[in-house]
Amino acid sequence: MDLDLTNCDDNALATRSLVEWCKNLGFDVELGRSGATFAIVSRFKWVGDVKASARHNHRLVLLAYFSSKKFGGRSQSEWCELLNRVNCEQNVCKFYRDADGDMVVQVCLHFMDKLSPRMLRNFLTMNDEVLAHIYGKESEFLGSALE
Amino acid sequence: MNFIPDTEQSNEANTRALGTWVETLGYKVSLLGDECFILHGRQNIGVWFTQPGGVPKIVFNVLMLGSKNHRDPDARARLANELNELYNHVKVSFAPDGTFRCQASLLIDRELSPLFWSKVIRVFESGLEQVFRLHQEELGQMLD
Repeated sequence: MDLDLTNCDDNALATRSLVEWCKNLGFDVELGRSGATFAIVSRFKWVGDVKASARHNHRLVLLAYFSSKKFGGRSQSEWCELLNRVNCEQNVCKFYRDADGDMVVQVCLHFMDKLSPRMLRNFLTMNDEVLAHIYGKESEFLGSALE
Repeated sequence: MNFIPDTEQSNEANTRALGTWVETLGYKVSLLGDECFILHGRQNIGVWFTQPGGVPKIVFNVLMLGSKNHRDPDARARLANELNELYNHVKVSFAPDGTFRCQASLLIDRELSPLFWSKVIRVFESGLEQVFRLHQEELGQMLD
């Protein structure tokens, strides 16, 4: 059964509805303490929320965090050069380094009023595959820069 | 009428079909070879169809030429990182020649309705405008 967010304009309510729906489908999913975010585990652990819009355009935004070495790692310039190149080379995941120095991977799924289980599975699989591919391709840099 | 991708057909055939469908909705469209069409609006958006792992997907791409006078790739990469952290509507990057690229994508479940298409385009255009308006000064130094 599809997740139906028709007329839902409340981010937290949409996120909670998504979590319950995912649980019923057998996904490894957990609502955050605030009730406004959640974590879903596929090949990677993704944290995110639903940006709800009653005007037929919901967005599921997911982030995967990777801690970088605080000492002996790479400089901000090296990080930015790598992540800019990675962003240039593919059109699935967005990479950036946040203010804490962690590498963040962001993905976004637009859906109108309803989300099907097939769509969510396709979305997670595609993101996991691209992220794993990049992780492998850039292993020399990431292996020396991440915890 | 909705756009229904034909996953038996090539990406090029689906891109052409999508371009024709978008044109029938009243948008101004011009084909750019077989692999892409340009959607003319507040920005000229390159649009193409692809099927990574068999999942139908539309990619939106806006390119802006880099300034020949700006020769600091470090500053460009740092700005791209800052913008990617700030906004979740678009992904930005700079090509080695300084070209600025803003990108977004849309997965299609079974079909795409005119209403949903217009919503997604509007969100992408608004995201672009926000980036250009709020970062006019930094981008102005780096772009043609």
